[in-house]
Amino acid sequence: MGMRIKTWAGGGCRVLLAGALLLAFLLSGCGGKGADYRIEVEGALSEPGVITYLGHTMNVYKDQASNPCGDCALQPVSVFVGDGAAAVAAAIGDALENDFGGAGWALAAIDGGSLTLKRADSGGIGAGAAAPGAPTAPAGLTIKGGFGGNLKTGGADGSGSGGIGGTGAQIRNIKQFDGTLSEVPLVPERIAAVYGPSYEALVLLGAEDRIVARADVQTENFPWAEEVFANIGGLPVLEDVHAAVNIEQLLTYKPDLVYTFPRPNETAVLDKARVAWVEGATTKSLADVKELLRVFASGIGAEAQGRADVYAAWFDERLALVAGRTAGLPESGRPKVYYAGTDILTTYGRGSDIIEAIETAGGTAVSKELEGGNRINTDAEKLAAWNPDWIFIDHCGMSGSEGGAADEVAARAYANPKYAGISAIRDKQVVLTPSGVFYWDMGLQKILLVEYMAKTIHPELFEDLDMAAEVQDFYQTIFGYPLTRGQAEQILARQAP
Amino acid sequence: MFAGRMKTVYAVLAALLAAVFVVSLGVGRYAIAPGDLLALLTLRGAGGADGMDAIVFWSTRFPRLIAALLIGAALSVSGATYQGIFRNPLVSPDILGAAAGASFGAALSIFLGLGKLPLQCLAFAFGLVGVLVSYSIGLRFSGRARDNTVTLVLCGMVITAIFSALISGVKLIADPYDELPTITFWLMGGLSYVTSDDITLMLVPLLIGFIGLFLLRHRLNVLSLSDEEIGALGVDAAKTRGVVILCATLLTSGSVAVGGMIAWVGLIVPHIARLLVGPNYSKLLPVSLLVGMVFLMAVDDVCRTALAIELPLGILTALIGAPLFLALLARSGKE
Repeated sequence: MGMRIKTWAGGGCRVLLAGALLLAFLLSGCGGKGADYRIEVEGALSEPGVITYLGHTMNVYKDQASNPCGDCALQPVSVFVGDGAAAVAAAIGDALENDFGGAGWALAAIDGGSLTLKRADSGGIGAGAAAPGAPTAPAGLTIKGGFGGNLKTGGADGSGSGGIGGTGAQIRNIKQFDGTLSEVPLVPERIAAVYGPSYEALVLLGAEDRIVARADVQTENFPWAEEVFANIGGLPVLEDVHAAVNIEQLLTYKPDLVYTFPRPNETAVLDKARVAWVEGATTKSLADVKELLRVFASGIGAEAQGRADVYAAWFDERLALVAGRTAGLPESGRPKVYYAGTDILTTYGRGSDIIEAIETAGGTAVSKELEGGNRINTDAEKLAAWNPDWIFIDHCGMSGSEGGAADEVAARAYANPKYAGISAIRDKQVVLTPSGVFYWDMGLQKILLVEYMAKTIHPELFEDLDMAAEVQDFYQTIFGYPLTRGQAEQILARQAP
Repeated sequence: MFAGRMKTVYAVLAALLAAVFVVSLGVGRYAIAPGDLLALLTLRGAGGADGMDAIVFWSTRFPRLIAALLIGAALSVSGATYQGIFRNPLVSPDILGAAAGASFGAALSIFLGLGKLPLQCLAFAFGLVGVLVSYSIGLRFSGRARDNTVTLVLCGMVITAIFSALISGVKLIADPYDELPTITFWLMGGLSYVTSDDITLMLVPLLIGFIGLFLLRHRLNVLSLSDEEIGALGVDAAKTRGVVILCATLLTSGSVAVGGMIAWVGLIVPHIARLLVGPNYSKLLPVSLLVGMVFLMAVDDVCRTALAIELPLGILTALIGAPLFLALLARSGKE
């Protein structure tokens, strides 16, 4: 037994020793990452193409006029044929300073065509995981890079590690909705519309024929989407995207741009796979709806911004019309409105643009006192205390077809003795929100929701507002689809085509 | 246990591991022909195969495989360790609140819309905090009592309950369109979003945990005695237990921070290992490690390929693990 105890004691010493070794190893690892990275540029650019460095990409244009991005301001740093070594080095320095794809690197010194860079983040183990590939450049320019004095060039064959889409692909920088910068292909050819409301946006932006895969949620409750959108029926479908996307499945469709959910773990994998992405967002104000569309448009390119303008014009005109008539309403003339999603006790807090939609439509949004955004839970007592005059219910599917899911929701609300005392229930003022090609509480049709609520709670102010005609005009202008009046009325009545 | 039998067990497990690894390299929703796969494996980074194949393989499939290996090993080893410390075969790695703490950290950071790195750091930190709190409360409450394992388990339950309540609180106010499903999916556990960065991040705590426990594996045998007996052997029970718990917690928190809640692995694998080589920790730990690797890699293969949707790993490990556990119980009942 004595022997064994001695072994245990020896074990303790070994733990300490191993710990010390491990610590030394870790520290040395950090030291290695701290080494300067140097880039040496020589010569001058003689033809257009792409410069890659540190896994990022910079376009070389023939001249200012041939920037294929047009006058877009989102291409902040670029170089031109004829630029010399110092100009290219300065541009790379600029890009890193402004963090355009330079995350993880900071400029330490610049001298003519020679750049010295340092790791910007000491804690970013992730950023230091992969050694950057050697830089590449089009003809005329020689560019070398490496740690310490060990400089290499990737050569014109592009064996350096490129940015998105592999080496040599032309790229643009765009601003995501949250303000961060990302790279997207100059002209995306194969788009995956994973984020629910991205499909209708891509139709508006004129990019539906470039969609190669879409999500299950885009047709699950929307028979009208298959009627109105030309290609949606024939596209491969990614299942269960609300929970997670099967990334290998997604990559099977070889997308070069993915419209996806704001889930950092998902976009991190897409980054690794060098697939560009644009992420969706919860819109916190009505202006955000237009802004998110602009971000979506920036993924497609300059021509799509024109389509976003068309939407913004339609949106602003209708919003002004509604707001103009409801602005003068006194507090007493604004009925209390409660907006529910799916379940009557699920509602929208002050972090959601539904609050603004209700108030613009001339109502008082009772749930604005709640923290939180879309579809948060509340309870029956709170609902009773608010005692709304109108209740709108979204996300309840179609009437008539599919077992009349929507009608059941209303019937259940009317029948439940818990709610019997609420004005909206007593006066039979529970309204089911239509949907059409997508939910009205998110996505482009939110402006129709504002009009619809305004007309519903203030019929006297909006006698001349013909909702069916509005829906027809919206579908024609925004989606290019000529709804008949009958079809528009079907959509408003939540009937399938 | 005869040396001959041990050799056979190691040989069979190593062969099984190699076989499952090779199969795992080849299967996935994104089809890569065997020939192309071979080219990929031999000519990494060169233009030997279609560029997209290489990207999918190296950015998605390969890191995921490695993560399955590491997490399977980590959960199994920490499970075996906890079962020894608490002298209870029903104990799993989340007993002291590491998993619940880490899950709360993750849920909170999803709710706050933080990035991936903060999510993992927060998850890892809360995992450690959970165990630290239950351990220090446990020590305080057990006071002069010789044996503090029961108090520790109870404190672990309390901490787990508190963190679970906090998770529910976060879920209640999370946006059901994007945040809530993400939290729910994360809690179910899965490796679908693993990248090479996660592996690097996870490697540090896992290596410390593995090395620590393997150096201490002989002492683990002693820790399953009562504290009085341990004291009689000249070992400081509380101190050793503290170090062992720290190592096991590094393994659990590191795994949960990357893979989410993957249930049952830490419970079932040590049982399988014990069935193979008996309760001696000098053999049990390495065998648990190998079995854990094979088990999680195989289950994750099913997750990756069975359906077009991404099956959460935690659901499958529970569905497979629970009946397997019953079978083991029935078997040990007969003996």
